[in-house]
Amino acid sequence: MGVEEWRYLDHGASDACTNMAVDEAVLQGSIRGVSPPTLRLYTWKPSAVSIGFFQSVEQEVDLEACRELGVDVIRRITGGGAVYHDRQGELTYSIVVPESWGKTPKDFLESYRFLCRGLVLGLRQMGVEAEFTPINDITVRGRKISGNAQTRRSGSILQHGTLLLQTDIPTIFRVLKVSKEKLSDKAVRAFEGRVTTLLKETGRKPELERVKETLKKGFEEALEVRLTPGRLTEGERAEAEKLKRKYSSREWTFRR
Amino acid sequence: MSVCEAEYKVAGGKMIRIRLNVKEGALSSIRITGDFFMHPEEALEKLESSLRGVKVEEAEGLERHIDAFLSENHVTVLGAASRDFAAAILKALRTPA
Repeated sequence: MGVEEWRYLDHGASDACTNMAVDEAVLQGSIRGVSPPTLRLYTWKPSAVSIGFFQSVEQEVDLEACRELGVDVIRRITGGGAVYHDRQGELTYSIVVPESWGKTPKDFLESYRFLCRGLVLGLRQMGVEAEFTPINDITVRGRKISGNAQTRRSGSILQHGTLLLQTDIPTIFRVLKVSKEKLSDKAVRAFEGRVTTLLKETGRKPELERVKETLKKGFEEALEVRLTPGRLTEGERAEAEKLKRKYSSREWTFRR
Repeated sequence: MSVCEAEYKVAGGKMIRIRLNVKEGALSSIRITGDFFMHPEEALEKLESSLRGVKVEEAEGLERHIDAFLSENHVTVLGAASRDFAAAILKALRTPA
């Protein structure tokens, strides 16, 4: 028996609406049984803040700062927290797979651990002592380098997550309201103590293409599949175009 | 009518925020936000609806109410538990905005 093949989508940079619409379109395709299990790697241009499905945009995001800086704001279909996706300093992955694949643990926590393993192995390959830290983080010596979020719909799983390559801390503090009131040196140091990046851990500027290649291998090893470069289907493209209207609507962004 | 708000930090790191209105001694509306996970996601709005009409003087029964809602609707929550949502709501009731 040969190695099972999954589709690999190397998507480069897109705006926030496109990124979230494509993830959901692939999930819809998986639900309908027409999209193959997929790993997608992508970045964000312009930089964006994504907030969790249950978060309030006004509570989490400084909308005025985002406008000034040209940072997109988008609500995800997944829970979890707000993330600043820096155009230069962050890489996002998404995995879509039907539950019928059978290897993903049913238990949510265990499924995070399982699906995050590709990232953990990729990071270790780069010499970074990464480990999964429940509920949904990957950390290096206690500092977060990746946050992950999952949803399940009609028998299919979508998990997406972020990998910090290098942070622009002043911008994070401007666009997110977290700790905003304490924009002190102390708050910045505390933040730096909780978060780390690939740049900090490896001591060299991460090369995006090499990082992607290494993560791809990490996921192949963790999931025991071969990732074959592919493209979105016509159906997925059409679905994504439709979904972009939802993601760009005020109604969606401000629903909480 | 009075508006109440609270932030409640769950042990383990997630945050629950509550905004609610009280009218004639009962919850007339409630908004629960935060960075927890709830599956299926639509369940949160249903939970909010189910809390409307709960009397403030019976607020100590909130945890049981939420527990029953989650199990009846086969809802999984990660990063928070019924007692955290209940505690957050009680905190809001004590904290008029």
